[in-house]
Amino acid sequence: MILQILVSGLTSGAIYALIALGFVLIYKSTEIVNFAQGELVMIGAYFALLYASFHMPYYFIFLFAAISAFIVGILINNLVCRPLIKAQHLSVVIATFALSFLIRSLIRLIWGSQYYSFASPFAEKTYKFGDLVISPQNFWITVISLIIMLIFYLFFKFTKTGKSMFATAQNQEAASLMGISISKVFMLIWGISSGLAAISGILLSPISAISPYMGIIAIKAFAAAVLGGFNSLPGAVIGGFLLGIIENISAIYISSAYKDILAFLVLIVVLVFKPAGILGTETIRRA
Amino acid sequence: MKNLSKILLLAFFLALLILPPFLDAYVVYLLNIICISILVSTGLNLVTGYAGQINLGQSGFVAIGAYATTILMTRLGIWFWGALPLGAVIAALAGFGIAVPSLRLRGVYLALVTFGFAAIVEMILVHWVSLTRGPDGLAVPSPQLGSITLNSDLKMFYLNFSITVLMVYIAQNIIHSRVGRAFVSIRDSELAAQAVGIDLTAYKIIAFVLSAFYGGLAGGLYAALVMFISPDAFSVLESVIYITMIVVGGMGSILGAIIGGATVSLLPELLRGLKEVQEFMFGAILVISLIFLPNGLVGLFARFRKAPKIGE
Amino acid sequence: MQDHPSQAPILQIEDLSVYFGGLAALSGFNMKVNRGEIRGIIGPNGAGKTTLFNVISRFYTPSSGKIRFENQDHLTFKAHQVITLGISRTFQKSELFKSLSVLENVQMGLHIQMKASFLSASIQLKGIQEEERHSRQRAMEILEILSLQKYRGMPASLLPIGKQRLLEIGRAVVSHPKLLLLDEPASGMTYAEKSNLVDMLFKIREQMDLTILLVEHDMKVVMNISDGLTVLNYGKIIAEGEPAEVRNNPLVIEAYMGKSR
Repeated sequence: MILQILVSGLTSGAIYALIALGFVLIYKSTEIVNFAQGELVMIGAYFALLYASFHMPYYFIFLFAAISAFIVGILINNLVCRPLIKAQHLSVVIATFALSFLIRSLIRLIWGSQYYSFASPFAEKTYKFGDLVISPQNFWITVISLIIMLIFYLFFKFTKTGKSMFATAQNQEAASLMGISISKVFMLIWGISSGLAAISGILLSPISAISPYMGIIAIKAFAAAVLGGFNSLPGAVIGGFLLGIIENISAIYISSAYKDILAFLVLIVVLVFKPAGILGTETIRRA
Repeated sequence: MKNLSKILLLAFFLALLILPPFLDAYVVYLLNIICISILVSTGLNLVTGYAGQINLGQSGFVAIGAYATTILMTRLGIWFWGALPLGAVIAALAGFGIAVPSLRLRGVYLALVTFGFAAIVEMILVHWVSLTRGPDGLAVPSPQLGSITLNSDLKMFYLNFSITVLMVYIAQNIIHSRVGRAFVSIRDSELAAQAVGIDLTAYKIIAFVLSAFYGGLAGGLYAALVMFISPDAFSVLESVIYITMIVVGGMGSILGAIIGGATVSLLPELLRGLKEVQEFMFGAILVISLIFLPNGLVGLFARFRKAPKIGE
Repeated sequence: MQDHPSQAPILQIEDLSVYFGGLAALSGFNMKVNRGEIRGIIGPNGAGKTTLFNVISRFYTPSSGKIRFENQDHLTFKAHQVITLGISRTFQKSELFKSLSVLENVQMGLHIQMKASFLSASIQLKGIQEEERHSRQRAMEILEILSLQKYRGMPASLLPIGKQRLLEIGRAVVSHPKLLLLDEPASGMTYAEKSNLVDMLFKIREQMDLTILLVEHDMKVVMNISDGLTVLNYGKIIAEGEPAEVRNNPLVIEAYMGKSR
């Protein structure tokens, strides 16, 4: 039983982790909280829908949708964030909030408010391992998410671009003194963050209906990021999986109706008792 | 120059007092909407424009004011003139309730909490049917002033206009006092603000409560104006519209809130029709204003005068 | 050290330690400052000088140690209460209220001496208007001492750097504090402005019976103005005494030579 809970929790947890990673990546590097992250998830799903209508094989849909979202992320950085670098921090936060409305209404204008479904590329049947029931859907979602996170990790740890991005996230001033182009890094960060969000959207499409309101899942990812520590990348991953598992546990032992509110509760509890989350650090004010 | 602007202002006020009975009914309705919007944006400006604390939940406070005023009148039989300020006070209490736990936290979380608040209020309005009659909405009785019933847009205009002028005057006084300076100092440098003795949390809460009060007051007046309220007039989109008002008008400026309130409130009227188009327009206007009009329309005009604009 | 006719030191710091993560910003720091003294605090970058100020301002809480100001346990107070005790400061990086005018910035120094609340302000009670007028007047006096009066209506952000530093000092002294913390006040100032600063500080110390703690990198300024010096390196005191002795102290010389500024 416990094992089943863990396993199902892993699937939603993986999705939350991906979205949370995107959040934290942007926040850590630019101190911007991206209110539009959920809409980027939604864009991923709609891009998938779009490319699916061209009857491409799944892996192409996946790739193209992720790349399209990557480009959207770069556009957001260049057209909205860059001009606002010198402005009050307040302005940027409002801007991402406005973007979330803008993107959502744009999608509604193009596709309407109805729900779309996305044919799953995976077989419908489930496999049993002793007491454990696993569907290929959930399995692949979890595995693909983990692979993406691994790629992400390797990229940041071992490639030159990745390392300079990581350095920028740690300490902007030092990074620019070392000759790293901060503006290129920001561009990439938004692109990658959007890509991550989009991938979660694509992975979500077979199991959840595609609608302009999909973005609401970002609130859960936000809770996951806060849980893990909002300025910690590994924290985002841990927070994501933890939230997924906690949600599942409460769904079975408490009530499935309240499953969605759980994320809010977690958020409030963490903020009240340990705002830094599991792995986060308190920022120290320096005069 | 100063005398000329004083004369113009006086003339403007006189026009607003004398002309309405001769104007088209729709125009009078719009004038009402403008007054109410200015009330909302002035309040929001205090907390977000001056004190720099982002409040994405103003629509929630307006909703609370509207519904509280109405329910106090219909369920408890309270006179409008009591229900209106009470509704505003209830909204202010909600503001206090939200602010106290969340202002200790980083500004980012405040944005999320206020947004969540607006969303939750919207949900409550729809689902707590025994109190609000949900989507069916509530009819709002008209205010009685002696033998006069304020059941027309024209009569409501005079009420809305007077209250708006009074509340803007009050806001102006607050801004030009040490309280207003404290708000700005919190926005400009929390460190220095503390060093001169400002209790950050206390002042942020005050700013928040003021914003909520203004919003609640506007909500009550709105209810009396349109005589029927339902949840879809108080969605989270309204919060976006209010933020757009102060951004377009000019954050941290009383005049900015007025100009922003007046111009932006007219947009939904002009854009009657698809909600998606409205949402898109507001999102776009907001983003464009943030980038190209960082000091709002007020900032734009200031560039044409030579004198540097001093924090008003 | 200058001997003040009165009594106990106005500020006593005992065994203060501040750790950030595993790093000791201040370690076993002891200091006694007498009333009316001007104490210079010098040392290479990162030595812990600003950390010291931030603890006194109560932005940081030390990991261990005691601070007594005017014989009170200083650590029980919160950051915004520090000014009520009579301690004012300026900041290393200019922390002016950029949207406020030059005059309003100085008025802010008088914030806690005023009473207006949002209620009394909204209806403009008679007393409130009087209070406003009085604070403007006192702020103007300070501006005149600093020769900044002609900029009074200008947004503080438009002042040249040297004058911004001066303005921050004005904001700090308008309340007639007992202890003034100056964090690199001369940085960004021209040569003329710096010598003017030294004269100004002497004058203010006289007029207000002020005790001053001064962190400064400009050696000329520090040597000129300080009655005594405390030298920090890596969070520890490495020398203390009158400027003339300290400047020849081999440990001090080594500390500065060993670090590139």
